[in-house]
Amino acid sequence: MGDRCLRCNACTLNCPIARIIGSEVFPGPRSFNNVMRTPRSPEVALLWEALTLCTSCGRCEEICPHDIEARSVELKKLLFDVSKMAPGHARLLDTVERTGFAVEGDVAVARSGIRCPDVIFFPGCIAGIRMPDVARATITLMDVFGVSFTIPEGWSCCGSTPTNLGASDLNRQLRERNVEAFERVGVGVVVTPCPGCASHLRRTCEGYDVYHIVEYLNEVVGVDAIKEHLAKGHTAGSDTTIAVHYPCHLIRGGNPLSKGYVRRLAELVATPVDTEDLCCGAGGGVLSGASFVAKTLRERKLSNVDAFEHLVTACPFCLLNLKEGAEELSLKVNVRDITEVLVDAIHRP
Amino acid sequence: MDRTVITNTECVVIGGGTAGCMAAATASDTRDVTLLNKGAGASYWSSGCIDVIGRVGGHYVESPSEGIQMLVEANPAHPYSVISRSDQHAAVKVVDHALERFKSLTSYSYEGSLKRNVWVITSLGTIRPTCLVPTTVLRGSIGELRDAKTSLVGFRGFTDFDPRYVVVLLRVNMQAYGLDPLDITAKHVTIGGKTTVQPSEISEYIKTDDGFARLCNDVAALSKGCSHVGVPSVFDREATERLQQLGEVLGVTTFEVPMPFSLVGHRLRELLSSNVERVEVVEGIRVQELAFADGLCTAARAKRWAFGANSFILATGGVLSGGVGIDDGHMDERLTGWRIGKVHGVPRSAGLHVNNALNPLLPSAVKNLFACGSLLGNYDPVSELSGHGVCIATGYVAGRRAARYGR
Repeated sequence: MGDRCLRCNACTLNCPIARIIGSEVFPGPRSFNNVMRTPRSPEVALLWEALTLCTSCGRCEEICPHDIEARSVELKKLLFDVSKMAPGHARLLDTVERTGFAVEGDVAVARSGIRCPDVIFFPGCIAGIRMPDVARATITLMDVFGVSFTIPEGWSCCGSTPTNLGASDLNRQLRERNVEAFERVGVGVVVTPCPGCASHLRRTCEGYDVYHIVEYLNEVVGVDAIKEHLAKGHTAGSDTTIAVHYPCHLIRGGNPLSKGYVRRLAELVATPVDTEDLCCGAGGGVLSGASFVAKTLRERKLSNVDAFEHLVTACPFCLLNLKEGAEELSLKVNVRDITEVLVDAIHRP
Repeated sequence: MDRTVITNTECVVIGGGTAGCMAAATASDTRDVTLLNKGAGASYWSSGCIDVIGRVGGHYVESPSEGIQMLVEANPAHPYSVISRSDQHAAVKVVDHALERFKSLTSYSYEGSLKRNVWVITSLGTIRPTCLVPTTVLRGSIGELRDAKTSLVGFRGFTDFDPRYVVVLLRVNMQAYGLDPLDITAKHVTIGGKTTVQPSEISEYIKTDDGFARLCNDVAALSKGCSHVGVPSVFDREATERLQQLGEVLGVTTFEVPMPFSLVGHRLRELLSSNVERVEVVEGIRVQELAFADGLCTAARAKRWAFGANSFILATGGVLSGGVGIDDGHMDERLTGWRIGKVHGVPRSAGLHVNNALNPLLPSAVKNLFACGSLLGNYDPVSELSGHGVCIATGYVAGRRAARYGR
């Protein structure tokens, strides 16, 4: 189990939660890996609260030279107990069980009745309900580039956040519901604007080719095709700079090339400048159940970006969190999703 | 259903440690380079000091350039011999060029030369020679501390470094070498009242104005009358600047005691990789195999990604980095499965054997594949104290050879 671990501690030294929130509160990935040798010991149960602070950013897995995966999700599954949950987490799971979605509200986008579409469009709860502009921008891009799609009727939460809270049964139900909805469309390619959904569906829905919109634009549509659609005034290598926040679930969600993809798309409209390699703090249910972590991390993330007019990301959840943070801190920087930026830049007939 | 994404470039470097970064930087002078990296490799095991050659035949060497010449004469298969066709003077010259390039890549934050090794204190209370050291470490070398009054400060809750232990063992070790003891006392400070801290937190703490001010007060109270204040090397790049400021505020010389398992190896990696501008770096990708056709390497493959190029550089590291696997008493090169030694075989020969062009010799020379770093055989970084030196020199040469291939 933890046998491959050479104790170099690279995971914990790179963990943003251990570094910024503190290892007293959050002992870090190496400790979680160590306790896997005796997962049923009573001490492990004491880790529950710490585990729920993990944003599942995947930095520990990425830095590990020996491919040891993050143990927090496994441990949470083992210790899963709704009665011990933070109120925000219990509420979130209740919402998913009741509505099938991770957030309250109505789904803002729909499109059905397309015969033999190229792809299935999976909006995801955040882009579909809370940040509908991202879903709409993605739809516009697919329309412009001639990608026909259907939003499958009966889709629900992908199961990523429930899984990150240890609710594996609920995840299984959601997966079945989504696979049924996909089967009714009868297409094997799924496109989503949400990195969390993309990486989770890729893991759980075997046989489906799942793309985040950024991957689809780079690998299928092609950057040259996008260039041709750019409106005058938006030329590559333009003088303006934009700050870029790379979403953890995208760049560490199963496609190592995706970081370069985001940069290449950003380069179409301006000169991208990377922000500190740091999770925004929203993922893994942390924003709902342990918001102090999300707030601390996003404040840190936003501390160096106010000199920029735009901060661009490629994840509706990062967008939601960073936007909230920018408002709270009264920053001038405009936080936007890459899909929205591209829609503004392309020439529409 | 699975789609393979094919990327083509001129040169692919596999591995982003010291050797890989050096190779990528050198090759990128004239070629488009893609560097594929998975994980931190052995960087977190590094103290960040650049050993070039510290011991030959069991004896310490004062001058690395003399040490290199002795090594090349004694061992024609040693990496230093391989990159110089066993010419002693050429070997010194190549290593010197490689170190200069390394210094420029690390923004000249390293000092030292092949003329003379620097003796430093370690976190185990021993003393050892090394060649290039960060400026912050140089200020705490044995030579600097000889006539100084030094306070060695540890951080409570950071159990990897105990200054009391260092001071006691240092006295014993200096005596064993027949050296006069240094005037050093051990102290502890707390980091925001915490009972357990990681190096990354200590760095965060010293970067805040409040933490910096408190640390200044605490250290000042413990270091009255001292000219030098030493701390374990647990800082990231920004925090190292703060350490310098701390010395200015207190009117003392601050220095770092090099130690592994901290942020120093990371600092080195960051310095190297942030300065290889013309290189496309892909993080988090584990190359699984190399494809060959007609005796040449054609692609590096990882799950559903394939990277094609004219030349390939293998810088996957040794056992710690996962470049070498151990299976059933044998050592294997991980990407090709080549047997490269036995665990209890001929001492120091284990590792990939290469020809003068750094082409791997197993099974036969692959002309467009160049190997470098701790994957190589016929040297012993631990007993020779030559780890980083070999990585830098072979990385530099591999980068040049790969760039020249096919021209």
